[in-house]
Amino acid sequence: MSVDRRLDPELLAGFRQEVDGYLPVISQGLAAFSRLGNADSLVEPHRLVHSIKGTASLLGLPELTEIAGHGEEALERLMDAAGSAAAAGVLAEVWTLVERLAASAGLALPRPSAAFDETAADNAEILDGFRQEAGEYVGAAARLLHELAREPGDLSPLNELRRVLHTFKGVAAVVGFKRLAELCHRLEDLAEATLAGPVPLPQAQIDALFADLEEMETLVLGELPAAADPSAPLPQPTRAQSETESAAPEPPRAVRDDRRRLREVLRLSGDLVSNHTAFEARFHGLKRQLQELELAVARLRRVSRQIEGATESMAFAGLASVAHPAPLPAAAWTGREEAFDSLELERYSGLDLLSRSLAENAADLSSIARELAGDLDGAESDRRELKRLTRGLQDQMLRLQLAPLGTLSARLDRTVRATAAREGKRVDLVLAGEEVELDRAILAGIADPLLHLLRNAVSHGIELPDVRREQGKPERGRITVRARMEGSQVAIEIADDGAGLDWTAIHAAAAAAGVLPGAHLLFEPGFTTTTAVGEVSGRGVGLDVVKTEVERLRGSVAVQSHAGAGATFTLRLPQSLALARVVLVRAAGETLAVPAASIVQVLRLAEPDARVVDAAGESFPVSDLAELLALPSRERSPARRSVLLLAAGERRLALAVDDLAGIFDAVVAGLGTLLPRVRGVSGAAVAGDGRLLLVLNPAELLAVAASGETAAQGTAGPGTERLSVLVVDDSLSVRRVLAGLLRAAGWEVQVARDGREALESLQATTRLPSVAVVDVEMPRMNGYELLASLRREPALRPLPVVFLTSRAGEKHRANAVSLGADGYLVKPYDDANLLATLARVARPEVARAGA
Amino acid sequence: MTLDELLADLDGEVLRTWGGTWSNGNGAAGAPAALAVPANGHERCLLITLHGRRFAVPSHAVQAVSELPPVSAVPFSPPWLRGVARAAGGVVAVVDLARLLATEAAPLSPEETAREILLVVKASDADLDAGLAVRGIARLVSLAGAAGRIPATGEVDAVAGLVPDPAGADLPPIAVLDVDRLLRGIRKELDA
Repeated sequence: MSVDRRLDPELLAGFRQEVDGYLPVISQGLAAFSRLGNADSLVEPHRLVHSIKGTASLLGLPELTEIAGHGEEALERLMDAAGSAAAAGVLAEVWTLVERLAASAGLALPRPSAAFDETAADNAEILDGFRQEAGEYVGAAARLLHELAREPGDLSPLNELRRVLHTFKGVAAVVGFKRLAELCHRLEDLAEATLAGPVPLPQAQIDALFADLEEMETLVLGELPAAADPSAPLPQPTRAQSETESAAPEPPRAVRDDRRRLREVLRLSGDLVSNHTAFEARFHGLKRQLQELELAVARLRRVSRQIEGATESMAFAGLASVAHPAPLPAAAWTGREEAFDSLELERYSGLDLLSRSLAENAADLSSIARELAGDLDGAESDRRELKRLTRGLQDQMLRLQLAPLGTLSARLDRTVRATAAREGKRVDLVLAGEEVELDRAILAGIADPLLHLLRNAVSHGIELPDVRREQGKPERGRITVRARMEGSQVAIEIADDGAGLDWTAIHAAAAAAGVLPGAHLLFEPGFTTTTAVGEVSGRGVGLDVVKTEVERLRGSVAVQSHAGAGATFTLRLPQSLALARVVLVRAAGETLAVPAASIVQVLRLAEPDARVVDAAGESFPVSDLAELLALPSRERSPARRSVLLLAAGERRLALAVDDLAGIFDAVVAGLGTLLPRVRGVSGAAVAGDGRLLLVLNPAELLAVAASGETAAQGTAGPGTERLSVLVVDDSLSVRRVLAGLLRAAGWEVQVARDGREALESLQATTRLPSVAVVDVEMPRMNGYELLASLRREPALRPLPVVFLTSRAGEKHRANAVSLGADGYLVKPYDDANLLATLARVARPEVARAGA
Repeated sequence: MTLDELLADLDGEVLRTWGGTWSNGNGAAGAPAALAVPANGHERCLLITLHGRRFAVPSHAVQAVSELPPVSAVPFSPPWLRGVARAAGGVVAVVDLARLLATEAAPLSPEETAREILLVVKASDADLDAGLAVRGIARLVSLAGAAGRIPATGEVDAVAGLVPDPAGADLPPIAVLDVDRLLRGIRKELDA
């Protein structure tokens, strides 16, 4: 490898090892393509070559970057040429490039495995079937071995393991995968020998079983590249990769097509549900109209009876024929009518006939209404059945998108074992809740974040065995990955019993960076407490990528840690990306959808323009949704507005909206091909009435609010003035840290050591700052006294004041509010929230009246 | 020409019409033969008028024509992006073509009514589509194909060329839009 002498040899050694692990897989993929001509075989080699290119570029290795780049292009051409006469030539070119790549890295290209029988599995259909089946066998074997590792005294999983291996061996042999069959046989023998051995099983024996399983997995994944399966191996994420491509593995083309079709069917089923909702609304409208019709018919019948009664009365009174002369009688009848008494023969006047006609029509209408009611009853029954079927169809469609978390188990376990072996540590991985199901897209997306957290846990969390022994801990560390359902969300905890986060180092690094300390810093790009870069982690890269990826999936990540007692990272993700229960909100005349899972609390704003809201014992700056998204105002805000307190991990956002407009289960789709990503929005859903609703992404909204940038500000002209802040605190460290943070965020900063100095400074200036951040307890003049003085002086009264204090008591907060504070934040404080608060309450610098 | 007349015109040539919407296959790729094959080197185009200026959209790129459906505004978007809407069996970004092509400075012509229509167009070489909101009334015409076009110098990139207006030699030439370039340009702007 041509090495830049300035590069860290340890880093290069790690990369070389990484490439060494990739080459066999690339080689096997090319060999498989050579035999079967299936472009799917090239998906994994292409991804790995791309990964090599990215990492080589990151490490400053131009030759390797160039060769890998050519290799990647050639592989793409080979995929396109699959099945054509040109494929052989392109394949030869790819082999040459891969050999050059290996040579440039100082490695030998391994020969393709002999596991493939040249005469076997030449049928793509059989191979596809076997791929799926092999994955299931390996998954089952992994689960059984985990059970065994958890309870080494219970050998019952071994019997089941033998059965699985025996079946797998037979299938592999039939399909022609001789080496795989041999490996199954060996593992089966090992399991049998283990059954006859001591109980509980020695750890070495369990490790040996896992080692064989790992070899089997490698073989299966190498020979049968099935990147669609999220359990396929992935390289460690690098910054270059994370910036240029999705962390999720790209599935083979056929699987992509299947998924696209599945998404399309799911979208159609979502439309079906939406249309059904619209149909229901119309149906209920029809029922209401029928009720109106029935009432009208009843009224008509009543009037008809009244007319009939009146006509009879008039007939008896001899008035009817006067009022309404009878039609002319037929000639034959003329004169004979007089021979009958009125009791002997009824006489029908015009009014009689009209009255009877009215009665008959009323009866007809009544009959139609009855028949209509009968039909509607039948339709009601059909509607209910249709609703059940539609919902059932949608549920089943959604289920097709789900897969159990356990499909990642083997990869998680392998990663922990490999990392522990490298670090000389002893670690047990405990998995719980493997049966919890997640959207396949989410599973693919969280694979890398989970692996990164596990590598971190082993590398930085779990101590070396002798250190643990000295601390009175078991020599073997323990990492638990536990999944559980929380409503419509899935929570995944990654907990270790290691040293925990080094808060001293975090505080020191925060001070050096000029930012406020806090757990959130761990997820900031480039933040690191480690000066030495290790092979596994400590590059200052990773947790920010974890957070970005999790938030892309509409999830959040949080961490808890106590010194010496380990750390727990908790990922919260929606179970499905396609379906979300949403709350509809109105803002600036638009209706938008907010995922219900992210709403902590709904409040009513006491004042429509209130800038701070109190909830759960804390004050939150209010962000106006319409302002945040720069929605053109089409309606005046109502007098009574609502605030949604949204959560994204540990962060909170108080979002003011004009009104709440309902809740429903939305099928979330994209925003069309021109808009693959819109900040603050995760997709669109069709409402019951057919309208298209934007579904908001709370984590991204929070980031927009924290940046202090709204769309309106983003489009401000060059005349936009910088905001300025006066920091009043008696602690030099706090002043420095705050000044660093605020200047980094683009603020102009002034400082004062106490209330008196601040007041004198403000009285002397001609322009007030945009906002003041004030401590409560200070010598000479405390924060309350300063605020009271400011509010007394008309020229200084407009200055917004935010308290930043360690006093968390309600009494202190209430006193600040009563004096006219615009915000009240407690130290230690999330700097994103501080920036958001200041951005919310700040007003442009203004010339002091009378100055 | 009213939208109904346009739809009837389209219906006479192509696949189907329903509910005030014409589609050449519910958003499916590929144009019907009647639209895709130019006759005598001519190309069938939908003629639209934007603030008095005439543009032609090759009909093979048009997936659907309908009244403008309700549009949901999209945050952080340029003024010419109206938002997103349901059309042609999916969700499309709705572009105000007059604003995009900066023709809005000119007054509306008499034939432009208040009624807006939506043309859903799709690129031939990429998986891109968009809804073009146009106020000018569209009609179906045969225009000179690529060989008969005047190079469009000084025009926006999305104009493939100019063709004489068949309605009269004294009328300004019609600008024929290249839908592929138009959509790629929009995507580039939005990505930026």
